[in-house]
Amino acid sequence: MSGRRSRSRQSSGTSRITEDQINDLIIKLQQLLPELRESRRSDKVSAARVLQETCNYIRNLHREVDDLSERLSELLANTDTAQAALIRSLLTQ
Amino acid sequence: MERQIINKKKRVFSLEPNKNPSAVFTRKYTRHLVPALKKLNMNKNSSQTNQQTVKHEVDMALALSAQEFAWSRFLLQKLSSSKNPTTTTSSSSNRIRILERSGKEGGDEDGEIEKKLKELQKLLPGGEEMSVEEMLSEIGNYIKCLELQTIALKSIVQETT
Repeated sequence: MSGRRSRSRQSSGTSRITEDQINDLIIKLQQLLPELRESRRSDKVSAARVLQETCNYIRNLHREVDDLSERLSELLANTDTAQAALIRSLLTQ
Repeated sequence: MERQIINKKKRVFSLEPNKNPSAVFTRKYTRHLVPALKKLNMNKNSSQTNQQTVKHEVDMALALSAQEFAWSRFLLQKLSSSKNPTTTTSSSSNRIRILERSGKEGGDEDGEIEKKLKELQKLLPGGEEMSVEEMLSEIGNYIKCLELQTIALKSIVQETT
């Protein structure tokens, strides 16, 4: 049982992350995320926390975009005012 | 982003604000979205402008405005095949595995990180099909573009209010 590895996929199947890559990612994410940028109580924030915050942040952005799309579609339902305003905004580009 | 750095002590910022990537993206985005919305509005007689169609255009504009990034290609793929929703069983999903940290405590923490990374992978378009290095570099600009998209959408909504 030991020593036998059955790999169906070659190299591109499994990729291992090194600790360095994780650290780089964490640093980059820390700079991008507004909450973590401002509240720096300690120097080190746990990596898992940064990743969690990132996931939350992306989900929030998705939800915000969905909300805005919904509002946009409601606005488009009111033809005249919306059309005029859209044309206006297009002209003022 | 290219900045002209002269040999003097002062740092000079680009005189061409049009090349600023945030501005470029936002401009492309509105240029894609606004005409698309107008078209939607004009075809309102045939089909109702429901929320899904608008969302579709919103996502499409995002993907088209960021074509230099890998995730936009995946997003485009997903959007163009949205008519036939197929659950993509990613057989070649890249499994993220973390190198065993020798002698370090908190094996749980590693598992936690791995779990979060997988979650992150799912949020990024095409994240599961990318190599890990690619994902690490793409996630940054994806977040940035999402933020810019939100700002653009807010201003469009305000214009039409």
